[in-house]
Amino acid sequence: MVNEENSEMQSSYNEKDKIVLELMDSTDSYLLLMNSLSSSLREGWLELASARHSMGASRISSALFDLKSHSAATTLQLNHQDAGPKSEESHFSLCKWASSESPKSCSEEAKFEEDKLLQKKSNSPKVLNQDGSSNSEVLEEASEVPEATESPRTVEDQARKERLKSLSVFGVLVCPKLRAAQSSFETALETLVEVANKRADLLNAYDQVREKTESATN
Amino acid sequence: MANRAPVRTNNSALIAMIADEDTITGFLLAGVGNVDLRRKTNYLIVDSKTTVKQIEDAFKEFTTREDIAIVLISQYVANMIRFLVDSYNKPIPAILEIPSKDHPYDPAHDSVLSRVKYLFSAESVAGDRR
Repeated sequence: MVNEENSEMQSSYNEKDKIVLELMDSTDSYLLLMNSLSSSLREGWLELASARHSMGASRISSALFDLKSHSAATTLQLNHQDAGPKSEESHFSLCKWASSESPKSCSEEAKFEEDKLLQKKSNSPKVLNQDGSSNSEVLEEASEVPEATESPRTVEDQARKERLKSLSVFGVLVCPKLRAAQSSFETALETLVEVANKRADLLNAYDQVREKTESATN
Repeated sequence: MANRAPVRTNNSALIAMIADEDTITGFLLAGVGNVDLRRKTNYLIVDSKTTVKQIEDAFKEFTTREDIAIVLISQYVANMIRFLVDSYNKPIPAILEIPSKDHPYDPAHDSVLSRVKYLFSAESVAGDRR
């Protein structure tokens, strides 16, 4: 009898410990992510300040912001997941550089696609040089390549176009530091989405701990 | 309803911002800027001339809009409307307190972390009573 009670108590303690550990773990990850966010933002501010120093304060100012009606190129996708019997957890994912004409085709891994495209570009001249004599094959390959790489290329082109569009607010020829700042803030944005997801986990664990505590006190 | 963005897909949502000029500029470079047909933006630039009332109004507007999933707010700005930020408890839009150029991030002020801190302090008090 005493042993049964002891094992029941032990299992309830284990369960509570598990939830508290989850909460502590989420808190730790949240703080680490905030730290990484702070460093990406610091980098971005420094690059923005350098760009302002070289381009002039009047060329990078809020007075130049585009106030015409336009949709955001980078948005969030919300996925709802069941996180337990009572709660529903929302998971955020970033949808980068979708054009206003085709908002569905977003490029989440724009940089990855860019790398792939660069590889393809570096490979294609070699093929042409080797097969320079056989014209029909070259023509066939040339006609096949755009079809095969259509989606990554359009996605990558679209990402590049949208990146340029947001930079063009500050002029056609912008300082490379401004491009670097753009890249740092993109990284910060990716971290922010992770922070938002971790925050949801943290709040979920917090609710569970609170429920357990309340049921234990009642 | 009037301030909804013109073109949105089913699950696509915006990121709103209440922050200093440089932070907003950076995130606009990253492509999160949205201006709707009524020329309403998804951000508020906070400078020395911005009043607490304006910040409160922007916070209330962004947290009630259905097309916004995350509201980024500089922690020093959140401190100005702490009562509003702390009393907000909906999961969406999620409020994220971010550092600003002149004010580093302080976990002690973060509304989520202070909730956790309060839970443990309340639990330890309850434990002492028992």
